[in-house]
Amino acid sequence: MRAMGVLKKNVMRDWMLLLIVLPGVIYFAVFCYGPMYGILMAFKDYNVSKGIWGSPWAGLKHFKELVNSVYFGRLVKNTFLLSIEQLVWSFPVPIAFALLLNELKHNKLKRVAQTAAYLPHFISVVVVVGILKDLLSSDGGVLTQLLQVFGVQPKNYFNLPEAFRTLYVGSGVWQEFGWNSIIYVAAISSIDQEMYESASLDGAGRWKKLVYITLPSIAPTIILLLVMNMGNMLNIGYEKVILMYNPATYSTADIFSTYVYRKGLLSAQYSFASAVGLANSIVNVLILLGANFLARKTTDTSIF
Amino acid sequence: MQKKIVAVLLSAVMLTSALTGCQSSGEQTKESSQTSESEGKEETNEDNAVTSSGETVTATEDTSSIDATGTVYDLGGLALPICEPGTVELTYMGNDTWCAGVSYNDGTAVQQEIEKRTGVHIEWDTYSSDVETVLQTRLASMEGLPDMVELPPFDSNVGVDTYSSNGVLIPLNDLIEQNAPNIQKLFEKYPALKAMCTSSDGNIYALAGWWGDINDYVPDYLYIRQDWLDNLGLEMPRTIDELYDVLVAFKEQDANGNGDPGDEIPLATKNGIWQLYYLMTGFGYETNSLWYVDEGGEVHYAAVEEQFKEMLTFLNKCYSEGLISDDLEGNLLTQNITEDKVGIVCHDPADNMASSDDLAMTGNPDCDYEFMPVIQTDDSGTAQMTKRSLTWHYYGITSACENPEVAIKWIDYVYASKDGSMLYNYGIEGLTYEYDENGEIQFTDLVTNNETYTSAFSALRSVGAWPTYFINDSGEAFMKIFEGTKVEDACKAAYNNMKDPFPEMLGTAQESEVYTSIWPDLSTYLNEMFTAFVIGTESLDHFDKYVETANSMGMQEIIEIKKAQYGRYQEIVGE
Repeated sequence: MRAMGVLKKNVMRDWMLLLIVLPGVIYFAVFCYGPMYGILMAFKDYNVSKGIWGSPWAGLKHFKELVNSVYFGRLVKNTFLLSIEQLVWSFPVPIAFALLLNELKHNKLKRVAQTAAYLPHFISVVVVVGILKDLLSSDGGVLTQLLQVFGVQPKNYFNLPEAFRTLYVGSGVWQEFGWNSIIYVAAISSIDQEMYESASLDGAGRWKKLVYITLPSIAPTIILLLVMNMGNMLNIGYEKVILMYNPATYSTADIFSTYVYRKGLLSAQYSFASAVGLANSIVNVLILLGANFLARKTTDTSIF
Repeated sequence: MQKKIVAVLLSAVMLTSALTGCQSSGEQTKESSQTSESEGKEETNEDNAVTSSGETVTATEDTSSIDATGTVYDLGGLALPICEPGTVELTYMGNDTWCAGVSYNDGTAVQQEIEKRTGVHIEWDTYSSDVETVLQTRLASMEGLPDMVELPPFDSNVGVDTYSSNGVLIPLNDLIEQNAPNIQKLFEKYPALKAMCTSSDGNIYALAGWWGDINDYVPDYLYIRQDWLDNLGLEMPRTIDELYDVLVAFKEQDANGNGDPGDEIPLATKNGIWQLYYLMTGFGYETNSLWYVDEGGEVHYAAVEEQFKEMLTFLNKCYSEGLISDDLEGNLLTQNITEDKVGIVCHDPADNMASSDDLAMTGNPDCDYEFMPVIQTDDSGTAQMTKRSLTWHYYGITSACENPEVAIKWIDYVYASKDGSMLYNYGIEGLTYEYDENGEIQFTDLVTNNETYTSAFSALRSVGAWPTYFINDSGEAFMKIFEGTKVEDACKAAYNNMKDPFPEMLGTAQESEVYTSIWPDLSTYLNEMFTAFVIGTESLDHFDKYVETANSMGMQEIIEIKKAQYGRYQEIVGE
């Protein structure tokens, strides 16, 4: 009874804040928590006419099918390697770019550079892959011709399994580093300028200021984003991979999401696709928790 | 119901008496083709008996109240209109037209004409991209089901079998028997069609989009630059050894005559290097189909047979010598053809050869692609090419349909009747075609000289002909479109000179389940290994291991399924 009274009092006091948070709560309830009962499909033999509840239970059948698939080992390996390589390259580059941008004193140049860097973000991935294929065509591609000058035999890099990850990550970094640097640029701009002034008085050069002021100041942002990125690590979309791979590069390019696309969606095995999706999410959550734990232990900054 | 029929009859009589002889049908045709929806332009059967072309019409008495533009052809016993105009509305969901800038949802002249003739109003719900996903989602949700629906092809795991077993589709056997004389005739003409429409329980739940007629004519094979052969003084290759010599000549010499001997791509694939299995006839196979039946009636899958290894060895040699394009997925093919670089394209149907010609002519006006004869093992070879597949998607009536009789009659009209077929393949008399003084059909400028839609197909599709719904394409109309071109020559050469493809039968529930769990992985593996063997990332010494792996992944089970399906096919076709 007393608890109710306190609750009522709190609601009366904070109703405006609650109102503000309401749309967010509704959003998550409707679009994230609501559909979660669909996870059930992973444990059922889903039949469209019987619906999720009416379909017969299948236990772990679909998970077993996934694990027993001849491609399971390769999918795990490819997904992890691609994710890791993606993280290793695409995470630090925007930070470096933001730091470099910060050192540019010419304001106009700075703005032009920033805009030019984040423009590719708006190009459709289909176009990006198309450009890449054209540039690297073994038959008159610009990059191929350039490499030929240095004595490299023309090759179709899209047919080389060992080149796939580099192409995928490289083009991704090119497309996204400018866009991803925006948040760091914002973080840097909020650093108190007096710190730099006093550092200058103490005789610190640009490098010292960068290492001792800028980096520590944006460290919380970096760690936050790193942990969030880790949580999304295995969520590599299938679109770009499907545009880029072919049977010659399946050995390094085939990942869970493309496998699900081919097997789950194209042939409408909804239950199987849900099982793979669920497994993927569980691994993601584990990675997220692990990364968060490490971050909290080592730096005191964590998302929870 | 009784009342309705009386009403239809009455209105029919009134229209006939009111309008008899008010206009000659020749003028009528022209005028109403432009204002195809306007009322009060009804024609009567009496007017139609002798048309502007002088051709006698075989329409039956029942057609007395059809509101038609142009000739009314044989209805095969179907009575038009199917219902009193405005009384029945059906919905159709499926692919939109294959013509950019036009949509069934907005209506086309042919759709309007069909509505005028049948009296049935169709609400169109069609999609131009990602149709399969839209269909699956809609059918899965079971809500807002259309009356008539397009369904995925025979080898889909969620197709006719799934939707008939869960009650989305209704059986059509009785409906066809009682209401659809033309579909019955079509089944008699093509027992294969009936077999391919019949589900494993003996019922017909859906009608296959039928390419059996058109694909008697249209070859789908490799084509080669005849002008390059001429430039280098070479003969058209007929055997696999001759083909090799031609490829080498294309590679080493300046076949396109632009001064650079190094820019020619001797052989390129259109949809993936996997398609090069078309050359299997050069290695002892009787036809270029991976699924085939031998003389003893046994079903085989070529890609896991020892014989196939010879072809892979040959292709590997060609690839390593740079005779085959390394653009494995064919992404750059169009560009390369345009740049006058591609010697042989594998593969395309005859009409696409003409478009490749058009592409290359922008760079080289002498460009002349010609269909290749089937590559033989040696001079005594008798291999034939396989026809293109006989069916496309399926079309069914759903349990949500309140007027299945009207629906099946409408389908009978568009899918199987002569009158429907004329609208469908030639368009509307006066708009897309006319009869000349000899009584021959001639396409109008709208088709032959269209500024927006340069190909005749696109022009016809832009008015709604050559539709994507209830496909039953006419080979004769195809030949008419390409009359006097080299496509016609290629088709004539291929006519009666092609083997039927392996039958495309609907699976049982159990077959579908096994197929679903095995085939996606297996086909990935087969495709991947084919590529690896050809481009040399996998040694052909491992061919036996590859066959072993394929078997361990369920190759033999898939073959068993195909055997069972072939057995059912034989039973229905009665051979």
